Amino acid sequence: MAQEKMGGLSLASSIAIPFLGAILVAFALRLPQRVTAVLLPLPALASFLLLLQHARTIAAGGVVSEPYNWAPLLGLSLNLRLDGLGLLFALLIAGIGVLVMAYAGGYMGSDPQRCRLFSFLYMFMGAMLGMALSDNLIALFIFWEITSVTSFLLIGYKHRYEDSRRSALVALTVTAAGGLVLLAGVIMLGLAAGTYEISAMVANVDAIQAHPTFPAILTCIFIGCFTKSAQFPFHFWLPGAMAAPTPVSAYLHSATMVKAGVFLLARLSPVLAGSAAWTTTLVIVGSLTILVGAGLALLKADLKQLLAYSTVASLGVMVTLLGAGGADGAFAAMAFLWAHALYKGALFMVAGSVDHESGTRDTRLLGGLWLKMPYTGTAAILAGLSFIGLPLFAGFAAKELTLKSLSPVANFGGIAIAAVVFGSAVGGAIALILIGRVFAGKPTDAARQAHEAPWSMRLGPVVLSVAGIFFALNATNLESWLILPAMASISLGDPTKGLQLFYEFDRYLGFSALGWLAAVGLFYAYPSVRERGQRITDRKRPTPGPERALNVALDGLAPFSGAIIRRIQSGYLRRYVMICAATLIALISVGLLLRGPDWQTLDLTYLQSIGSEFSVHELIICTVIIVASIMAVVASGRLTAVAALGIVGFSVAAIYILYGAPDLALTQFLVETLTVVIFVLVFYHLPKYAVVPRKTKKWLEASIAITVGCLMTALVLMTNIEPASKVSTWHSLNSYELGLGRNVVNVILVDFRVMDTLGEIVVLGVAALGVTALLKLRPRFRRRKIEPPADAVVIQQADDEEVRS
Amino acid sequence: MSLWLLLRGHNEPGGGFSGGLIGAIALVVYMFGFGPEATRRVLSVRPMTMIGLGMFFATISGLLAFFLGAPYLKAYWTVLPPWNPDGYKLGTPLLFDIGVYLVVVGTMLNIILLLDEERKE
Repeated sequence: MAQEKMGGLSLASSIAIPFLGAILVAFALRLPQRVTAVLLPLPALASFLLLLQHARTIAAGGVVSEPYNWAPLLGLSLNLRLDGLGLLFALLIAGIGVLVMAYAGGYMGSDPQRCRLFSFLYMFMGAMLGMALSDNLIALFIFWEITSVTSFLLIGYKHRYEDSRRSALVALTVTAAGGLVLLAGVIMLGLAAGTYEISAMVANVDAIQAHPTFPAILTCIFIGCFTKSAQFPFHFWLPGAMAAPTPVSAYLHSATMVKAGVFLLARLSPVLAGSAAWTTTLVIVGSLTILVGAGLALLKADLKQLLAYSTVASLGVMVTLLGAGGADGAFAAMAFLWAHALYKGALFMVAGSVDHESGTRDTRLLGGLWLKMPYTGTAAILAGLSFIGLPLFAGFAAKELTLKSLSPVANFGGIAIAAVVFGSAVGGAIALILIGRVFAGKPTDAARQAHEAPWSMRLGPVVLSVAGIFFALNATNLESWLILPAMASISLGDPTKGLQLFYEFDRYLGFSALGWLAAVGLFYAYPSVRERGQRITDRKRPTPGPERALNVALDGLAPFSGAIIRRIQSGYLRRYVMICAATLIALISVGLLLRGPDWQTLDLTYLQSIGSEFSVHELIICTVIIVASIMAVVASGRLTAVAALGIVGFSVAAIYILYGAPDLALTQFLVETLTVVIFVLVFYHLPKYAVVPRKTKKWLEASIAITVGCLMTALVLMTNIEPASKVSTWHSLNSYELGLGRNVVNVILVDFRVMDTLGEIVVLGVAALGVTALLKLRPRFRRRKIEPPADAVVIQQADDEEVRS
Repeated sequence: MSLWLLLRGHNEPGGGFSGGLIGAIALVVYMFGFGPEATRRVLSVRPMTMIGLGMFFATISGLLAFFLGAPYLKAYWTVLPPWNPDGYKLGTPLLFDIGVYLVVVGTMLNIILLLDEERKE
């Protein structure tokens, strides 16, 4: 049905440009602030325009795709595909991104770390766009996880503050754990469908839904989406995420990231929806979320917290709508998603401006701000009215459609509608609080010292709130260009009602009116409700619930691991090495024994054949090695031992040279040198004595060491018997032709087997991180005078300094 | 000399790992003579940054192929100057090797500088 168009590079570029922007912006620290606010949104604007150019194709029912091969032999491909749903979401991401970046430029002022924030924001944007445009489920998942990580970095931006760190950790734990479960679901789905391309899965829907793993798939994907979109019982991380700077809250936690779960549910609807399990679960969880979110909102006084809880409720509405399903549900969900992003983003930015300019976000301390902040106030009013859902605003149509599409839902339709009405009542109350209490009324102290926000921070709220009216007045255009194509990606059929400025006087309007009345009532009752609620919650111990469970788990994790480590690890390097060596022996012996007895005969013949081929210099070097090794073992001083080991190393390198492996020898020389340097530096810290083990222990250690040596010898001899492998011959032959280099070793490292080298470098980097942590996290007290133990005793509890690692 | 080793690697012994190690040794010798603070100043970027930068170069060296439609990390070569087929060959593996170089130097310096600074306490 849909005609496919090739996207050239536009889709990939729209994802790559934010990442590029993230790098560029890291160097923007020296730019004056005014310039920053103007330049900062440009990459986002570029992405927005790149995507906008496809609007016409999408509106006509077409699809834009760009397939990319990543590792074709493994079947991994990054296929980008832009359909209605993707376009809607991507335009939101990029468009609101432009406004948020300008806002952030103004908000962060002269904060010396601000480029970190900008950089992370752009990384997030790139990852979100990647998620929206991916057709391959695995690629989508990777972008999903990147958004979790960047969200963590953004929430924890003020990393010197305990609550920022804790909120970030909670958010990451919940979303990443959900991500793991999601991965399981994705893999199962891929196996059941036979492909990871979502567009191809649509053809196999019946087979997939009949598959025995289908209930597990549903559960896993649900959990993944619920954690990301803060559905009950995973809702608690979202209010905590308000510790982030407001640009982050406005972008991630209202307009884009939290909607990712909703997005994925919508994206997979054609494949997964249709069963009673789908509908029931989504409607119930969604409705519960609405109730919990809206209910808890009434207990808060902080502007951002109010908005956060109401966002939880709104996400619940969207989930419920997707559960309701059908063309109506999908249409309403898309309309709601759009309208919500507009007014919520605006309101968050307003909250941030209020905080920035007046110094507080506490609704008890604010009042009469309108005089000082007219522009922001106007934006707040317009967005607030959309939130309440009055006619003339985008929020109205969204709400009406929501109510209408929920009524046909079997069993739970009534509950869902009641939940939505309650949620919108609370939302309306919040909007009224913002308008009536914060901006109108008598100016309070905080208001008196406030001033209007800079243009960069006014831009976002004004644009978004005006857009709310604009799209309401242009409803038919919005419908045909954006909402209908998005709906088409989710569900077949046509909606019964489109986007209109006003609908008839039916009972749904009555429900809405009920909501408005309730909102007004709640507005007046709010202070007392909040007081009473806070008295209940502030009392005694914190309330039991998922958040408490997570906090207990996180707090208990460190002592718990510490207790285990203290049992297992004594802190003595000697013991660790012994255990490693012993395990090595055990595993290799098992392998050898399983292989069969044939290895014995081969060994001996080989040994005989090489016996006659020794030359003089080889003999000399081997003698040096043997003598040096013995010296290393029996030496009485540490430096002597290390020097002897160094000699062994250099001699081995000499052997490499003799056998024609200059690269290996070179590297061996260099590594040996550096190792000696490191040893010397470390020796400074070791105590001035050594624990000399008992006789029996000495024999144990010696026998383990000798056994390891013998095993290694046997292994090497065995490998030599095998005929020269085909792979190495191929490498040598093709090194010049394909790899353009005569040095086979290097060509292998950076060309033929470059993927392995990439992994090795990462290991090096992680090792460096580990060493840094070990060295920097040691407690700084002076070393206590530790008496050398009696000769035969090995201390069981090592001193703190060594165990602390 | 370490840079020479790096560039030489493809046809003669050398390459990113050896070049990096020699570079690290050179700076370690400097450190023994002048102390860790002076070495850090000479270095002017933090070792951790070098590691990150190295990994970054290594990773993006494969992206050129990706944008040209081939599988990730496929090597691409060009000749410099472009009109002389016997000139210097530049390619994505070189970028990758530079990345390796940076990671190796960064790791070794990170460890050794930290150890030497600990020693001062």
